[in-house]
Amino acid sequence: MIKKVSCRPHRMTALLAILGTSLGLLAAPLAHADDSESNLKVSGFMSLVAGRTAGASLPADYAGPASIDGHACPCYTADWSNAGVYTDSLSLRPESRAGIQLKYVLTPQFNLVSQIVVRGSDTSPNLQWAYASYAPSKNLEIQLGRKRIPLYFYSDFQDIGMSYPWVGVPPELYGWEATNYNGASVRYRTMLGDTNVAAGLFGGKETVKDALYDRLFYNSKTRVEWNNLIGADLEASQGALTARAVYMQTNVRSINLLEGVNDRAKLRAYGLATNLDLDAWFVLTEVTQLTRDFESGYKITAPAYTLGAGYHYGDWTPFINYASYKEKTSNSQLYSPQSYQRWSLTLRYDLGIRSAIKGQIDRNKDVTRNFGGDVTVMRLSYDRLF
Amino acid sequence: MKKLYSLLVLCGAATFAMPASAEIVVITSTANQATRMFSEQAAQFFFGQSNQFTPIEQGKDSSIRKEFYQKLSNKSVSQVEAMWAKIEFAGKGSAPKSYGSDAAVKKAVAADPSAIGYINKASVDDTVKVLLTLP
Repeated sequence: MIKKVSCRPHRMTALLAILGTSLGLLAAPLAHADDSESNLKVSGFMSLVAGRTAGASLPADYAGPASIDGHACPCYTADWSNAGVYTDSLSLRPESRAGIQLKYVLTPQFNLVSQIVVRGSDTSPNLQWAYASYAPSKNLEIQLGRKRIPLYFYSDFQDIGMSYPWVGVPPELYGWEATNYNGASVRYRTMLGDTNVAAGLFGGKETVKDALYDRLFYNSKTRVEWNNLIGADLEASQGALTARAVYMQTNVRSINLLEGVNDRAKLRAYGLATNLDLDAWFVLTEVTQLTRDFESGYKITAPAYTLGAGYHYGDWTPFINYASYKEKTSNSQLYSPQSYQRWSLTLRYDLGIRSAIKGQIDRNKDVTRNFGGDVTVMRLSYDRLF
Repeated sequence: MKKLYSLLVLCGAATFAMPASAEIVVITSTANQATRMFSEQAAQFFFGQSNQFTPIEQGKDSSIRKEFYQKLSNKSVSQVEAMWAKIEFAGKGSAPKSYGSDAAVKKAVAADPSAIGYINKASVDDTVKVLLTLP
């Protein structure tokens, strides 16, 4: 897993003003889906996540770091993009977050959307999104501006704990230097027989001055650029089954002068996900592969998959999941591959329509014994939608 | 404060709601070409899988909403909210507008040829067309 990216808004005071005003608006009982005539729709989300590890100690042949981003190992990296790491003292910082989404409807076809998120692991507010959307018809939507990179199935709504059964999305698949991009996307939806189909194309670039992902590896700033980013996805849903396939490629440039890092690589990512939503049972699967082809002549290939099943029992949803990540490299002198496997058991309780509590236990195995050690992780989360 | 007042009115209206197991019907505008629909077909519009029809919702805490999703596809309101949260916070659409009564839903549905909503069967009149009856 490579660097992380954090975006610092250019006009901090203006954004803090927006955040402040929006929080003020949210203080009043606000139903965002109502029949009011307002052109400005404010919605938001919040997740409070507390967790800690309970690992014995590092194995005798452990070849990894003694600490990751300042957290003593054995430790667990739950969120690679934002350097969310748990260690053996309880913390709310690694995964807690809150966000506000503002949607200004200019006309039924044209609206402006922005989303600002604050995280426990990164104290300054981040402008995740700021884009204009134009929908000339029900079938077509064009978006221009800053948005989340829709790489894998849960990438788009990765911060919305209410919309998935685990405390966090499987880190075996999710987490890179760049989370958002500046560019454009097009999405076309239609029906083929009884199947709802959507095809999308997206492209752009992103620059991150101090990648949080790289803070997992280095104690100094790494600048990351993702250029010539282009991707396409296809989603089909019919009844209980939804499937999505995606391809993305980009040129990655990483610079960390203090560490002597200055490399370029071509990144390619493939993903296939399925959601089977039966009466009470549901099954979620996703298979991905990320490859980095470095100009200096070596390659890292990282296939990963997650497989989980859950059951809706009234307001309770137990969910069991297995995920695996296994890197391969063409040159193990230059790079030590990582591999992990993790079982998790989650129990979710829906408090109301817009809030839920989850408890999760993970058993993470650091197969290559070089990044964190074997750990048991215990987490409790409270998710809320506004 | 206006919204708090509306919420109080909704709660008041809910106390005069129909008996628990009344039939619920899925309706559309009389201007719409569709004549009937299966539950699975109707579900895709209320879950945001297809936007060919614009879904119209009942009150967030209303008993009809809870019953409707139970009868339609055995889902809880929380599950449906989670589906819309996915869509809305991914920038792929907006959760449906909700209205506080069958009368308000009928009015909204009649006004939009591509709208689809649900009301108690007893509230049906000639301003709307019934596509599906859920027992």
